[in-house]
Amino acid sequence: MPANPHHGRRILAIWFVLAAIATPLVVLVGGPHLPPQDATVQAEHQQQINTILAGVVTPISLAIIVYSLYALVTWRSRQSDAGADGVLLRGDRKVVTWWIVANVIIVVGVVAYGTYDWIGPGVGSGSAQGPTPLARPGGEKPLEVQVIAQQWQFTFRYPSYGGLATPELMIPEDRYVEFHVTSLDVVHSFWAVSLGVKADAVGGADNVVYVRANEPGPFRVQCSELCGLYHGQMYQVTSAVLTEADFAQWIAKQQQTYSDIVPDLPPYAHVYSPTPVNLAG
Amino acid sequence: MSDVAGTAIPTPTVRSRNWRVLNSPGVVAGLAYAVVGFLLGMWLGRVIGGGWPRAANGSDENDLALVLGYVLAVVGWVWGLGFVRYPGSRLRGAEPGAYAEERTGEGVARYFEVTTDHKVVGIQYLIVSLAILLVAGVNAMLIRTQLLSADGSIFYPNEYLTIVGLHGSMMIMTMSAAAVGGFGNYLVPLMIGARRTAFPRIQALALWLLVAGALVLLSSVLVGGFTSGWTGYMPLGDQVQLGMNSYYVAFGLVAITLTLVGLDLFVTIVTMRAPGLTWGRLPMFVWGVFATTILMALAAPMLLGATLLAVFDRTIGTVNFVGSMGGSAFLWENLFWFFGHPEVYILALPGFGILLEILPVFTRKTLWGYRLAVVGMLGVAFLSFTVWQHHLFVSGINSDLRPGYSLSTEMISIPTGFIFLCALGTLWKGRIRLTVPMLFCLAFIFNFLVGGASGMYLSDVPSNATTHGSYFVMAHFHYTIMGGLVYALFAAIYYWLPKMTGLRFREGLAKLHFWTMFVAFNATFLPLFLVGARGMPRRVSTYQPAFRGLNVFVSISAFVLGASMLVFIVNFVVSQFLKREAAEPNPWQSRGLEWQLPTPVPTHNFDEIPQVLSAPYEYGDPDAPPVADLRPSRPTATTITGLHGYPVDDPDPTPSSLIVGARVLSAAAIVFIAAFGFAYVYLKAQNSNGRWNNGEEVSVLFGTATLGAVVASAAAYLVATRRLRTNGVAGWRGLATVSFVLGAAAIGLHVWQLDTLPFSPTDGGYASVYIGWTAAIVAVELGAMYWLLTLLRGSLRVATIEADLDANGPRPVAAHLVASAGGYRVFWSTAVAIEAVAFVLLVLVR
Repeated sequence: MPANPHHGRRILAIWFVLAAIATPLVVLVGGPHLPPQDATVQAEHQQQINTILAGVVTPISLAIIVYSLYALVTWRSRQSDAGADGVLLRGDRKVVTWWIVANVIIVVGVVAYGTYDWIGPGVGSGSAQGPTPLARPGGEKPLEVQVIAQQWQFTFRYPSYGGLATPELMIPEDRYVEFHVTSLDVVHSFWAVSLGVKADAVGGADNVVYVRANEPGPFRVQCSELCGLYHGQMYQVTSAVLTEADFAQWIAKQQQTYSDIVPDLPPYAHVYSPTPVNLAG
Repeated sequence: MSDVAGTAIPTPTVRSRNWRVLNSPGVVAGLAYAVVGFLLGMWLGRVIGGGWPRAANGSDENDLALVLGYVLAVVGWVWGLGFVRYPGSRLRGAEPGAYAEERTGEGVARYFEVTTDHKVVGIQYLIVSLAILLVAGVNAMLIRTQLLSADGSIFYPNEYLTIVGLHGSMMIMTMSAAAVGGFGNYLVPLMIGARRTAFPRIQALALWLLVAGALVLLSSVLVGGFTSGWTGYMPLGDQVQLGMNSYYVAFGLVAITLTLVGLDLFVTIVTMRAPGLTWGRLPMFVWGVFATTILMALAAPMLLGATLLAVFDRTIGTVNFVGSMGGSAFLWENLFWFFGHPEVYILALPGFGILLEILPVFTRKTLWGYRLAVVGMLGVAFLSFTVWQHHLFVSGINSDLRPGYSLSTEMISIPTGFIFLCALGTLWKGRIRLTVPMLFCLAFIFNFLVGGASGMYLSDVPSNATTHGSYFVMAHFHYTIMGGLVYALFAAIYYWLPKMTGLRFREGLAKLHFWTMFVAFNATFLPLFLVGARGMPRRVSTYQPAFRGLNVFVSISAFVLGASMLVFIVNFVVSQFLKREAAEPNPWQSRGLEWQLPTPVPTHNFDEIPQVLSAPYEYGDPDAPPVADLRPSRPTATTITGLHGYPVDDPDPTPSSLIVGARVLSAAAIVFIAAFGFAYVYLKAQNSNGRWNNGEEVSVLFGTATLGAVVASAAAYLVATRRLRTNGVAGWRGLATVSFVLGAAAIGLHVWQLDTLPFSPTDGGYASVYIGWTAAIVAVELGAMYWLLTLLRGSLRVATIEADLDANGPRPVAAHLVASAGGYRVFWSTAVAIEAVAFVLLVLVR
């Protein structure tokens, strides 16, 4: 070791090499495996943002870890210098300035891109938007599907098919679906994992979230807000993305199956006010 | 003392003490009175209750009886402990001063008694915190046992969710109390060169209320448990059986505790710093506590208001949180997280303080960027009030404000980054000593880095859609709270316990504790990010079999993590009780003022108030003077009475503490009432098509009369305080009495009006909020009237201010009176402003 090594440059060099190896690995190799994958446009957008964030987080974390480990190895107190003090250094204006500049750039960049993404091309990016969405899909009118949560099951209504209500959730591919999520009792949350969709279900409130599926295939639905005793069991929903033809066929079958009960259902609305019922919490 | 208490009479003394134990203030009497209070409350609730089913689900369980039982039990507890004696005596006009039983005793027994010694209170907090931590930790082990299998075969859902709720609630309680309550109370006076905190009785009361809160929370298992988790979301909280009441009452008590701790330590730091201890020399731990106390005093009262609104829903049939009847579930989410997010930083900030306090000692360097660190802490505290809706990104509230909350959330990384930078800068070219406290500090940096990095995903709206409500967020906050604060707590325990107890830890066991904890902690929580992002929600008692492998791995790691705590317990028991080895007075060669004191620290800390000469981190500066002169030459009178003109063992607040304290209390009252104001505004805004009231209106005349009485009362009081200076006490007393009568009349009018309301609580949002808001105002005004009454009674003792100041020497009763009267003016003006806002919204706007 030279008598007076330039520690800053050494740390920078180690960090640069590690970051130059790790960051592309994380982004290019890890990125495509990040949840929630690419089953829908919204999931793709989330995965893209997760990849970008991984690309930001990796070099930052490496910088802090490399610096700390270097400091511990290099400046660890030895028996020989017991009782000695470190250098007298109260701060460094230049370092502080650069740190703040970097921090502000990252913050503004991350927030700006995230906001642009969900208000713009992500059409909500799978995040619920409340009763009056800021981001709406253009083009063809989306298929409206209502998600009604109650303890401890989901019901789905299709207003464009006569207010059909069914315990199954099927949506067509390559078409925007406009979920209207509400609850008949306590707060639930509608989470269609691989669709990248999450929206709380609140009694008396309408919560809109958009999704467009890329290809047919099954997906999982589950409740992700604690809703009482059987919260953990609120995932047994038959749900899938279907081709246009399969979807039409499925709708026809459902309409046939539930034709008897549709007249007895309350008229389709965005919120319902059932009489409070006495259920165990 | 030893001369008098010879060997002839010890037995009778002991026996008579046992006989009198129920009559003398203490834990036994407190428990006995609590039982009596509980039975009385249950009986009262049965007499007047039963006719008010819960609006949310029509349940006819008698919630009122249980809540009244809890409230009167707490009153009995506090009464039996002896806290009623002092306020009672002030009401009778007794002179301020110490009572014999408030003075600090000796030996182990004092740790189980009410005391005004901040060091004993600090250790009591640590004992209580570690006990709750242990119970909550066992709950965590039970949770992980359940999750060993996917089908939930160990506990029934109700049991499991109660365990989850208890784990979260108790951890939050413990952690918010442990660092500030334990180390804050113990260390702040030592670090700022004071003999006590500003309000030692309030400091003790906060501790014993926390104990009551923990017991109330635990008692929920006796009445059915609660299945809402620590967040108590509505309307689930309206629906759950009796055990839910325990949660709301316990959190109400915690809110009071946090507010009182914040009040006491904030005022202590502002008014009781030793000469020479400028803000620029304040130790970082004190800065951390200072930032935390701001959050405590200004966020916790919101929680108190929210829990009251919830309790009213369950007991007297209001519908604050019942969406279909004019309330809103979002109201609770907003109120809870307005408290809940600052609460996160109530947990984190003391940890930052501990980190930056300890790092310079073990790098043998001055703190890098002192001012930056201070700005960082205050910045975190300020920003934490602006981010709460990031918990509501997918909740379904209007999304217009979402970009703003996303930005404010990310912006917290800037002041937090300052703290990181200062920590890292302090490592630069230090002489780093890898002691056990230092290891915990370094692990804190690593863990908080992981926590912060995962926080970037959560603050990003698109990414949040997947991570919210999943095990991802659960892993995130365990990295920040457990990886941050609990690590800081252990750093503090290993660092300061040698000063507190005078005993050293076993180094080998301590290192074993650290390494098992660090490895097991990361093995437990790192995989949970993956589990969550792949689709496993939080708080589930069963899960999809696909997640089983990772869950089993996590459970086994968690058991090892639990075992690492056993290592700590063994170390603690061995080194503190079984094989005691004395620690050196300053084993770390720290410059901190607290380390300059002898071990054990004398009851009154400093023989004389020290003169602080320099900052505590001047390691490596050969020219730096010692941190303080412990024996400065000052006039003799100061050494007898202390710098503030009070006898050293007097627990009464100093005049400046009274004034600052009144301001903090007023601010806390505003936040408390703001919970109801927010409920009003929110429900009115939401209420375009819902239920608001039943068409009947409250009388404008009645409202105007009430407001008029309060305004006239305040006006009379303002004139009175002006006369205090010119005409003396006699001139003040007449108008102050008028003010009291008018204030009491306003309370009477409020109560009368509540009794003759033209609507019932179930009629809608307005009706519900009206009742809650008015009750809260009455509570504030009752407090104010009590304060004024003590002033009036106290004024009878003071002939003229000048004479008293001269005659009473070291105990200036009149100075106390003048300060208290001035503080009361601030408080009462605040109450009047609150009343005016309520009048405009509840009576004029409707």
